[in-house]
Amino acid sequence: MTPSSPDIPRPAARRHIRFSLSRILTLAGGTFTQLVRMKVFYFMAIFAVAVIAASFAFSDLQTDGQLKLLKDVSLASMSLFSMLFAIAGTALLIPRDMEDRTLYTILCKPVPRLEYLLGKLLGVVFLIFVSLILMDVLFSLVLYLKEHAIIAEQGAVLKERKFASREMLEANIASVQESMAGQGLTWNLQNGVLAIFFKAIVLTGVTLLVSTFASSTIFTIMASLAIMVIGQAQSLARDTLLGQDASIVPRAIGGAVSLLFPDFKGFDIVDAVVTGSAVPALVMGKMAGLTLVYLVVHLMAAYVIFSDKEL
Amino acid sequence: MSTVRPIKWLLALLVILVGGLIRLPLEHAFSKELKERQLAEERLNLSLRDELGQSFFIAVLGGFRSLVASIIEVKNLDSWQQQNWAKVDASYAICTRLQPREYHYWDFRSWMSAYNAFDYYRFEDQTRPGLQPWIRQNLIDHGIAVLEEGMKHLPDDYRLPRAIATLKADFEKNRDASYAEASAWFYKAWQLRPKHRFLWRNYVYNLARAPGNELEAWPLLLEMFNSGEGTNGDRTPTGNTLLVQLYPKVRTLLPGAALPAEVAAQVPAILASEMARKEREMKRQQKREAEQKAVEEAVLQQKQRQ
Repeated sequence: MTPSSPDIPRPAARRHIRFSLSRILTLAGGTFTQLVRMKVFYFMAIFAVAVIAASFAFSDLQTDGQLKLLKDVSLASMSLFSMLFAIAGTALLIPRDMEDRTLYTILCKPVPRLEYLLGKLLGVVFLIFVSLILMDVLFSLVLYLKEHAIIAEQGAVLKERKFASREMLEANIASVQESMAGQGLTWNLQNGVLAIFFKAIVLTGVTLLVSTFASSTIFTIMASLAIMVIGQAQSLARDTLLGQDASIVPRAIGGAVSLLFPDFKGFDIVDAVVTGSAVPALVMGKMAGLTLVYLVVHLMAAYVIFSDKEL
Repeated sequence: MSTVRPIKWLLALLVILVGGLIRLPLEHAFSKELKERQLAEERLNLSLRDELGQSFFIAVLGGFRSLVASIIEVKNLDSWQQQNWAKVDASYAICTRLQPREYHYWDFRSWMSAYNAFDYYRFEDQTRPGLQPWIRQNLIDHGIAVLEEGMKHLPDDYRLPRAIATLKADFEKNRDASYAEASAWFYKAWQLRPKHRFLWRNYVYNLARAPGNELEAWPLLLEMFNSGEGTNGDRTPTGNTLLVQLYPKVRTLLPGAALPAEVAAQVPAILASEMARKEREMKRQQKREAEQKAVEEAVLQQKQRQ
């Protein structure tokens, strides 16, 4: 009799799940780490210099102008950096994975290509989110300090100045209050930052789509930049092309452009936010919904191309 | 690119087209809502391209409209320091076109014209003495016109009608000043921001000063007096003075009218104080006129020598 082999407990065979959120999150985490290792956060130094410089520069401007300039420089920088991350970060991903052979290591495992794309997309989106949070915190802090410095300065001026009448004093106090309410730090400003984030998400989706069929990184970047420009100028072109006097050809071109390319003007609420217009939560909700529609469409198109692409 | 089958290209295109068809009505409704809520950017006029230059125009198209407006304002500081008022106005005109819902630009464009340029032509530039009053009045009118244009874009901002009211009430600067018009503008401003009582009081003061409105202003002045003193009340020395000034006329029109006892007791003091104020104002005015004449004569002599 041969001695019976001891019963070694074997792990139960795990059933392969067709769609796994944890796999996607792992891929997203890996993508985020990969991008962070490219030292992308060094941009924060440039942003900090821009924001701090804008807060001290041009003291010749009146209080309204100084605060507006600070908000403009900060929000424009946020917008620019997030768009650069969306385009450059996404454009680099697939080619880099192919170069490093990581792509083959991942796809030879039972990882569906859709999950790979989703993971990559979420990684970039998370990077943009973290970057925007960092920029937003710095911007809000500088704006808060600037606003309080101005309030203290204006308070001292109002105390020292002798007014000819009670009405003039009250008008001056109201003027300072209105300025601070319109140009100071408010929760409403965060809606502007959120709109920048949504726009960057759409751009990330577009770039991911382009990168699935692009032959080189530079092509992806150039094509995505071109789509971004088209998206920004689309409404202006549409107004011209679809004008009442327009013939059938410009109308057809205008219609095709509207169908194929995203329209980024719907995300440009930063101007309104800077001027102090309140953005209701409902509007932000609808903007989030529109972002989701764009993301689903671009991701589906990207998957169709990437699904049986020979790598 | 060759590694993707043509059918996949077509399928991807189809996905984007169908997505576009789903997205367009949503996007259209969303844009409409943004416009209705005044959150969408104003439509760009292609003529702005020539005024802004290519790089700025591209930046505007890229969604950096607010930043471009700020940069134009900063660049404008030089023109302001050089007192090139035409250039200052042109720059602020671009800012107001780029961001018509930014109060600051309307306010500054008007202020530059009706105050800064006005004072420049009053105290510094005396090269065309005969034309000065006409130039200055044009600057005031332009300042008011700018504020009125701003009101089309910011109909809920009380600061614009208040600024118009202030210019309309300034008899020292504005040849076409009118207490009646000033009171109407102050009233409009107060309707937009009823919590600011100073707007209401200014409305009543100007109404009381406008000839023919005595009966309308009298109960409002009494109401102000009766509201009491302090930050919650509208009783002010100006209100009391106007009660005293209006009383003789109101008494003839409304026989039962009477001054509040507290004010009646102060009538001599109020009248004396008002008289002293008017004298001070007259002296200031005479001094200013003498200074102005001296400048004009100096310029004339210099011209004759040349």
